[in-house]
Amino acid sequence: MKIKIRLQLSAVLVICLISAIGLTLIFMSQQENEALEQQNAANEILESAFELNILTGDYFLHPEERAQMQWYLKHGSLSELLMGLELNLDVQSILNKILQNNEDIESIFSQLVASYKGQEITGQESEIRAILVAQLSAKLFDMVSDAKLLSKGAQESVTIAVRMTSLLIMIFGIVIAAGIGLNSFFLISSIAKPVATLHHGVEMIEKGNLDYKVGTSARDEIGQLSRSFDQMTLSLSEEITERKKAQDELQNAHDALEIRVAKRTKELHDANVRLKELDRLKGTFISSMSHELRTPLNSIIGFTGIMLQGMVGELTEEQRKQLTIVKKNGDHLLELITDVIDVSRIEANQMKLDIKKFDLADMMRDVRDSFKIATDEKDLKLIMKVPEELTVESDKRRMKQIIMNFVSNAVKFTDEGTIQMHVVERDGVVEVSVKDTGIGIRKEDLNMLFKQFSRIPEEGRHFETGTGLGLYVSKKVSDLIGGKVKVESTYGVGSEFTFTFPLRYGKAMR
Amino acid sequence: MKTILLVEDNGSNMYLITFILEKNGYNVLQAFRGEEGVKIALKEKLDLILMDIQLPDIDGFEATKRIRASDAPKMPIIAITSYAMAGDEEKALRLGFTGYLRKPINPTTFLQEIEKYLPVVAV
Repeated sequence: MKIKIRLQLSAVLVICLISAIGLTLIFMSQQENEALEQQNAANEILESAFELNILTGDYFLHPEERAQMQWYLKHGSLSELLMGLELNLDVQSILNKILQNNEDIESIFSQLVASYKGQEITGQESEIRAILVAQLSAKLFDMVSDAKLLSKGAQESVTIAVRMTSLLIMIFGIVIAAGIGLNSFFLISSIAKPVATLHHGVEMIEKGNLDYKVGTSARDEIGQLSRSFDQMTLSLSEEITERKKAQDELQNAHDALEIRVAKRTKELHDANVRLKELDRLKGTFISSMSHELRTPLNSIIGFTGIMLQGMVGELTEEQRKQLTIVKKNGDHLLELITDVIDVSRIEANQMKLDIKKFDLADMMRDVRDSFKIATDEKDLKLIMKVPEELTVESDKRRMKQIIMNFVSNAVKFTDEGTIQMHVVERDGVVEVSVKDTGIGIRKEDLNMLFKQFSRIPEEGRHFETGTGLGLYVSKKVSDLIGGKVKVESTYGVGSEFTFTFPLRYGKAMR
Repeated sequence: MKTILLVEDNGSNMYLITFILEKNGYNVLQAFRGEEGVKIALKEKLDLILMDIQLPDIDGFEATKRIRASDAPKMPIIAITSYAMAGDEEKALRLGFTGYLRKPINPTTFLQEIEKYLPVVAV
């Protein structure tokens, strides 16, 4: 049964019981009224009987019209009262007896009146009258006692009614109390117990036992609540299972990924180790190549050199010419090997710098001196403007390599005119420029200059030797020592190569 | 006559340098291996040593170290090599060489360099 209905039932029960008490009270007061009416009637009957008795005596002593009239008047009102009475059946016999006596007294009083109509008063007559009065009195006393009976009965029924009322109120009270008590008890137990069960269920679920079922089968609201709760737990449990599954899958995926990452890392590490080994081998290879290629060349250049110097003996003109060609080619080959080795070192990141302080002006003079023969041969003017002394901290050999490359190119591509070498130092930046009055470079060819093995084809200059690596190496070496190489050229007028670098290696140029 | 020890594993170069030196009035002792060079250096009375760096047994650095470790602290030992990497010259000088010559040799400058290291003897 639903709690709502139970509560409604409780209220209905209370209303019913209160109504019953009310009805009882109304019924009892009615009873009382009747009893009261009966008593009043009895009193009036009693009074009338007494008055009629007195009036009878009065008439007996003074048999006058007035007394007669008074008596009938009284009797009339008594008869009226008696006729109007509606009493309980249990007192009806008493009333009937009173009514009977009432008729009797009238007939007796009529005989008394009749006895006075003869006008003659004899002894016999007065005796008869005395008997009639006595009879009448007896009847009246009979009526009085009956009236007393009625009064007594009325009193009794009032007492009974009061007792009944109290008893009924008491009984109803008990019944109400018991009814409300029982209903409340059942109500409370039907709420409290399932609530406690539900509470236990909540606690169980709070502890994580999602499989717990409250399982109340009651069909009331709490039953519904617990079923909803179980349904919710079930959904929750399913949801959690689902999530756990998803989480497991995620974890598995994560683990798999971790394993894969670890594998890849190891592979990478191994590859790195192999690469490092390869790098080392490459370095070793470059340095042995360098040595192995130079050694035979040293002999070739060396022997041709001593022969050309006449150490071995006098040479014919043709022998000198041919030995000169051998020497020139040997020199070119050595240059080529040096450049190729440099390129390999640069590209294998094996180029090591040797940084120390040196006088750049001194080095520039060395460079100029080493080109003296070549410029003299071509009848070129070689002008140099450098400070008296300029201390630079960098890789001297690499720097010299770059400047030599510039000057050598200038000499190679200038047929007449001047080659100017300038050194300027400003704010920690050194600028070395080599300017010639040579053939110049076409604008479209300028960007090819610093690329490897790039030789710009120029009509009529097939005999120029060159590795095609010089400027490429210069550019790379310049990058390594933190410098910049730059070219400006006008085709047919001349070129200017500029190399700028920080006075101290490692300082950034502004 | 000045005596020069030449330690060089390449026959052609050995011949070339020996030829230049002898032509210019030097007495040349030859060693093709490092240990052999050390042995001669400790035994003979020398004026100068020309030492190749890359040698088949012990390298020029090790040979020089051994010679210096004995009783020849002031002996001029000149490295003569095509072993030309950054910092090699510095390393050579640090490890006991007196001088450093790069191959290929130029006969004229080569002789000038050698004379620079030879102690001047009053005639």
